[in-house]
Amino acid sequence: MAETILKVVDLTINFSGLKAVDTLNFEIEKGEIFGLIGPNGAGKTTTFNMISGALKPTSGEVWLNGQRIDGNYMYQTNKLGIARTYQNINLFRSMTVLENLLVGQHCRLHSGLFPAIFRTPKEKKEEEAAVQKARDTLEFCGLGHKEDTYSSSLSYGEQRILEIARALVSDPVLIILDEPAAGMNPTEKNSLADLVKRIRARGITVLLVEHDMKFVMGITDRICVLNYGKRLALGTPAEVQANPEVIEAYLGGGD
Amino acid sequence: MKKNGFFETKKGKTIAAAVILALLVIIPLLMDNNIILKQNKYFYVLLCLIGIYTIITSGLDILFGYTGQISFGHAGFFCIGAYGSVLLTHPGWGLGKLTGYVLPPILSILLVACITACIGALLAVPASKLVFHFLSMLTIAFNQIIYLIANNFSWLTNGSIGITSVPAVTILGFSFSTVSSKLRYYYLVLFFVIVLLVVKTHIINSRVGRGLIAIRENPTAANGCGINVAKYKIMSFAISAFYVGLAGGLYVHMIGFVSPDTFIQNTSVIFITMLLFGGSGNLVGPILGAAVITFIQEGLQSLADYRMLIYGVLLLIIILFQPQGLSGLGKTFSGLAARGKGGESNG
Amino acid sequence: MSMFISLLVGGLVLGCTYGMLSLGLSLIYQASGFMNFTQANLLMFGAFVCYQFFGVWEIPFVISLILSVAIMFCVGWGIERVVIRRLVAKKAKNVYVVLSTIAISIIIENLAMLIWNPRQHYFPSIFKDSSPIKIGSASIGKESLLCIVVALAAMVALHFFLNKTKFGTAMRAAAQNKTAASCMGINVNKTIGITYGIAAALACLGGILIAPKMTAYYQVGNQISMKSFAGAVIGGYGHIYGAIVGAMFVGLLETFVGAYISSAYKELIVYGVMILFMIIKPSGLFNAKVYE
Repeated sequence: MAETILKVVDLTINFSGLKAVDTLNFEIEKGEIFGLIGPNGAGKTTTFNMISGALKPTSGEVWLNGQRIDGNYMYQTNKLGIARTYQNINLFRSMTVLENLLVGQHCRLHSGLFPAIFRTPKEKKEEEAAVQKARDTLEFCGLGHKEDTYSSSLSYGEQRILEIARALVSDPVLIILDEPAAGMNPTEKNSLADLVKRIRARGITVLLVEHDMKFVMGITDRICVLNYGKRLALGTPAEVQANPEVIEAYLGGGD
Repeated sequence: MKKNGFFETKKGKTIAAAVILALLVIIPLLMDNNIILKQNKYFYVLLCLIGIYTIITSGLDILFGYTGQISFGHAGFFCIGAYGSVLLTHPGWGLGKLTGYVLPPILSILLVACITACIGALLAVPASKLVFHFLSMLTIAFNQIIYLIANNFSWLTNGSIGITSVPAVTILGFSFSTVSSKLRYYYLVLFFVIVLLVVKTHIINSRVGRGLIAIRENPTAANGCGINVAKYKIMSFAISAFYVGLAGGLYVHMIGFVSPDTFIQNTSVIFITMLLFGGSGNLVGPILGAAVITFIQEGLQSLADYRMLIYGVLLLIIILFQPQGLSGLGKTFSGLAARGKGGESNG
Repeated sequence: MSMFISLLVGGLVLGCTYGMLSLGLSLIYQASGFMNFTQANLLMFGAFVCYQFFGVWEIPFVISLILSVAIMFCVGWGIERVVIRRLVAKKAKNVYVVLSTIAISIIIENLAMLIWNPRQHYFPSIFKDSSPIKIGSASIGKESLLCIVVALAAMVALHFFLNKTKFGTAMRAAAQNKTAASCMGINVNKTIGITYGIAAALACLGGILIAPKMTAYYQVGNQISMKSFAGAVIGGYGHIYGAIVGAMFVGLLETFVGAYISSAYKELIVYGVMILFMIIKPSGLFNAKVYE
């Protein structure tokens, strides 16, 4: 059995009485592509938000590599090695593509205020290295030719890729993608699938939420199905597709 | 939209900066040889004021233009800087009255700027956690409180009468007294303006500066990128307060007099008007705003009653029609506004 | 004891005036999610308009009052229509909307100064027989009583307007969910505009009622602006009843601190309490919903 990287234990959150996520349990193994699916309002993004530190769970625990991370702030979680993208794109719109990636490296750089003011050699060197790393990452994600473009003028698909690049550049051990394929055309989806596989090939574990079933079934190793905040099923894509409860939730619900 | 143009290249920027700097050093010197202008000492006061306002608006710009946090209380920091430096250097007040010893003005200006930065950080601790609309209220309340202290605590500040004959700046026996030569003081102010503008550019183009801009652009994403948003907001407030505190010190040692009326709420609004008029989120905007508004202010001396009305109308017009200010207008041919607000209107 | 009673009445009169402002602030915040810094200067301007009708042109008080309240309603509505709505339509940041209200506030203040000059004006007394009413050993001015009574009546009327009329329901619906309300056929823009109008009318009413006690002066707005905010914050920003209670608290606190401790410190203490509330309990006494 492979090493567990992320462990979610009895995760629960209440929104004014409503249990958006209810005693959820799953484990993600190092190096896999793990999918989280479910009908609208099943609590997928809420789960993401609790793992990444945007929300504090009411109860339950999240462990990353044996370290408890629930209740951390996002910036702390990011430093520990979880980087994420957002369902509704959250880019720094008036920054260029390259600058977005420089911000993405924030937690891996060290120069503070005074090295910046005095432009110390160490700071200069670090900045140069950061620019190089940003360029490499852009090249890896296929956005190399856009580095000086303002991120707000990228196409929708490119903006999604840029978010992934920005997450990737912070050297995460786990990358969380929230509906990365939303709004993409089939060609873009194919290159996205390719990119996700190449990210995994770098040894980075991927956790993703996606509505496009074909996309999810095609690239994930295992899938967890959520319904009304509870775990409905967990297994390989084939197992999940054969599960009668899942079929009921998706088809019976008239989704 | 791509960056382009000669003045956006590094070489172009350096040349432009060098030319402007040379003009700023030489022109007043030439004017000093001109008999008519030499008589008119007020001209240098005006230039000094522009320099001081440039420091203030640049400091405000770090907070508002880059970090996206509003402060309606910068006159409060200005007040702390001015009164602070008076109390440390005046033989009859504050430190001088208590101990008989005073600090040299130049030292006290720097020291008080640091103290102002600390007060800014203290104010920012609650401010960084507040939702936006409380932030504007908190800063107004801060301004009012500082004003009330200056106005009501007569034992400390001589109340509404103010304190006169503030000592002049002397560096190593070289006097910057504004009585004998205002030209010297102009160079002193110019020195600080340049240093602080360079510092500002360095901060903005660094990891810290990117963090600040990221907060302005998208606090959620900034947090997700590993930026401690609260810490950076506090830092931004402190830097901003440092600039304004230093400007307060420079101001008071030039004018030689301080009274609470300079630091009313309207002064904060004038600072914001300057910044928005010039254009926030770049290097030249604050300078332009400070210069143009100062000239307008002087031009309107005879219309003093209408002054605030004109500021109000001006501010409203900028907000409604040209939120990027003057520097936004000239953006297409002035590449100096390189790290402006991109294609976004209204920021 | 008589001093206590007259202080109490004085505090309540101040509280009522602040209350009219805080109420307007909360209404606007509920309806549009914005702060409005014009409120206090609208109060000052409304008082001046009434002074013009009643004091200068000697139109009977009730008619002057109705006229000025109507005029100020239009001014408030106009501000929303001409400035705020434009900015919101341009998707301007919150900062710019708040700044625009500050700009308008400065314009109003200075217009008042230019129209009525910077002198202090004495608002003529409303009652012909201005002898105070005796309660025990304390005597209370009729205008103070009128102020409290009218303010309370206005608050009760507003309560019924919001809860019992169709328009009030539409306003509350628009405040809670703009999209849903407009789907239900409510003209959200119109309700927001009218909210600004009502807020301005309330401010005007407050200004007229306090004017005989304070003299009309163009900087009155600045003096009381922050205190009405303090009232709204302490009560819970955006909470209608909280605004009234908070404002009464501020009025009483200010009066009693001024009388028993020092008038130099009364404002400092009010601001201090407000800041404490912002930091420790931003939702105020009434647990208002605080938007991000």
